Amino acid sequence: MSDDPGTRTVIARPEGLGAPSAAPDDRAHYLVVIEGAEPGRRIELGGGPLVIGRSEPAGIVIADALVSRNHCRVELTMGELVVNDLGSSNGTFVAGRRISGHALVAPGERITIGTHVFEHDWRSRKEVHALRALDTDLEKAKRYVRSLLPDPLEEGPVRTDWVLQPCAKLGGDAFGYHFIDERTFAIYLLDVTGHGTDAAMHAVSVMNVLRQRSLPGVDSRDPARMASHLSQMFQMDNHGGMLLSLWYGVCDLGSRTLAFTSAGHHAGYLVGPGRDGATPLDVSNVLIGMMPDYPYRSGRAELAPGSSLFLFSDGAFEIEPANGRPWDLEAFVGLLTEPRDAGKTESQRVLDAVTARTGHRTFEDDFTLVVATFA
Amino acid sequence: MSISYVDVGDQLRRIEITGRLDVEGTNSVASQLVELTQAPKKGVVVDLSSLKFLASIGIRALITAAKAVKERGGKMVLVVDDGSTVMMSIKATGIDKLVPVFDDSDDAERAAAA
Repeated sequence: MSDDPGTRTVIARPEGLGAPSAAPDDRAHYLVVIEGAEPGRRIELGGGPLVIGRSEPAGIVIADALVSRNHCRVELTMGELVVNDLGSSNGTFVAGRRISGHALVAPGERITIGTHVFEHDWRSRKEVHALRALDTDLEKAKRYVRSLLPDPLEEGPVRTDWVLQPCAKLGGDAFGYHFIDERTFAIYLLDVTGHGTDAAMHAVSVMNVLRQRSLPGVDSRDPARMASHLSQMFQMDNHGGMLLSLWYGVCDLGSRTLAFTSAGHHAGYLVGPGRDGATPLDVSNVLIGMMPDYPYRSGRAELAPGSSLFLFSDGAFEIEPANGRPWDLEAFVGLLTEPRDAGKTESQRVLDAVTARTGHRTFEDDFTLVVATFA
Repeated sequence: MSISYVDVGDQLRRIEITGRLDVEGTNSVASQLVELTQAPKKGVVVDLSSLKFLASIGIRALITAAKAVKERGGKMVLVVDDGSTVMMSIKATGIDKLVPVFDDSDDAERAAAA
């Protein structure tokens, strides 16, 4: 440190949503479902007290086994949102603290009951209209991304299954796989930084390049070349500051080798037939779009018969658990080697396990997991 | 989530970001980060040692700032605790190949002022 401490200036200490910009007189109070059965659902308040509960006659009915029949009551009193716990079994939490009796809920604060999380949103009706239009755009983008995703492969030398659970804001995850020729199988997963329609549409543009089996001037069998090519095509300065992480692998089924690169992406994991460990497959590179001339490198691995490759986005392990139990990459990777479940695909088994361990049914970021198993 | 700064002499600005650089956190500090790094100080130290979480959106904000500093002929460096989850994100995304990263804040200041 220098001897001169200078003047410390705190510029911002924003909490929650911050102030919406429209005229205050047109503002209404809303509860927005952040997590739960219907993320994005928006309920306008002000028409008298509303009971939240598991079944009618509650005004807001939510299907959640941890919610009591009459769980809590929300109402506006003198322009403030007040929540009253009605003696629920599992409690009502405001900003993470269990309340007894009633509590004020400031704009931007969250109410948690069971596995459901509501946010108090205070904004103009005009903005809400605009948000609804945006939601429609998001829906379109979500469908567009979906339409590009390949079907699971249920037979042949490579079998695949996957889950992609988009978050309410749409996180910019996408993935794909295809045979380049009879014995060469390409598989990839990408994650565009940021959320929303822009991130999703950027993911679509990159996918449209990756999905082509042949690219002029690029050998799609060479992961490092592929990453360099994409990075030159999608430099952030020419693409609205967008960056993305990519894991790209090419499996030679004849020689049973996997060539791969990770570009600013965490490792993919290879689990052998004995399920006695998960080997991380990553190479130290940079995000696609960050540096135009970065010399991407690739790595190699052997593909034993019966081994499985797990590719996933950071939304799978960057989760803040609802139950306070720690959750991180290591915990997630630990699930990969757990026994198979005959009634489920591998990706579904892992997703269910993450849900059970973290206490979340919906996530703040896209949750994508692709599993490829080699005969 | 907060962002604050101290100017050390004419040549150096220290910016500290605390809390979580996730989607919400980044939205609230990204424009301030760009503004602060644009001040005509040659060296910019961005101290992330009290940051708890760095999502990819936060990485993007840091990269954008670092590029802008470089463009005006300045130098931006990061202070990150070795072994922290923030350091894991920095290494996974490769931002350390664009922006020098230091564990020690004195080293960071020297590098930024050099």
